[in-house]
Amino acid sequence: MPTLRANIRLEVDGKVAAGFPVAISQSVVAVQQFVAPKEATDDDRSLPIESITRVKALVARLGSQGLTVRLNGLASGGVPLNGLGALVILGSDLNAGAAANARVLNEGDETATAIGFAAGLH
Amino acid sequence: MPKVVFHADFEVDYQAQRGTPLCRSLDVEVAHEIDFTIAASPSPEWQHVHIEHIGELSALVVCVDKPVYVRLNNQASAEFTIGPTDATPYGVLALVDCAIDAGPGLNVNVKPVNGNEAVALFGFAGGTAAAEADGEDGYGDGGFGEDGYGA
Repeated sequence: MPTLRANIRLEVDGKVAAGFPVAISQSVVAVQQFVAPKEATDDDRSLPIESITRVKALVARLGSQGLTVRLNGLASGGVPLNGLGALVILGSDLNAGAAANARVLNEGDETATAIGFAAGLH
Repeated sequence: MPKVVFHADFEVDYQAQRGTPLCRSLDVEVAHEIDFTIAASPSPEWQHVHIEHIGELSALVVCVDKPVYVRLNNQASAEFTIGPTDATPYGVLALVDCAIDAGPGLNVNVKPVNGNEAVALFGFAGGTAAAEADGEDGYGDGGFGEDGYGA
């Protein structure tokens, strides 16, 4: 079974934040990496992680254009990420189905791109 | 302005993953440490993560030692869970350079999955300073910066 390992470091004004760094190790069954361009349209679209039905970890960073992320079947609203923003969820259980676990909406003027990976169960 | 630097690297079976490592530096108007425990309760309720000084949230890094449901940006349904994994004691949620603007008390809410266990949360949040409230709602009085990080 593949093992996902992550090391997370957080600093505020040059000082390591209390509790950090954090090291994570997580067994997963499947991993799917993606590069997902999303044109500026009114509809949202699933991130291409269709092989993962239950997402235990999701990591994505954006290019220069922002996106709104909708997780776990959320139908409206969501989390707006600015250009160059990033999302990390470790120890999650997104179980709304492969097409609904993570969707993105581009309300900008140009194509936005999310790059990253998901890990979890088939 | 406080500067928040987030760095994370990821490997699966020692192979780096696409889009990583992540490294992002962000100047925020207010940075606020998250460090509190949700007491065990047989009927856990939704609660915010004690970042009342922040109006628009632009950075959030929070770790939890027990599973919690999470709602972001005033969402009313479709919450998701984060929690410890098989080999580590924490679940992690990080949003770097986001624009969550539902307002204090609504930006990030959590609820323990198992009310019989206390949940410890730690991390940091940063963003713009919340408009000073009149104190009647619990967010006012004292201004900002008492934690040493605010403006």
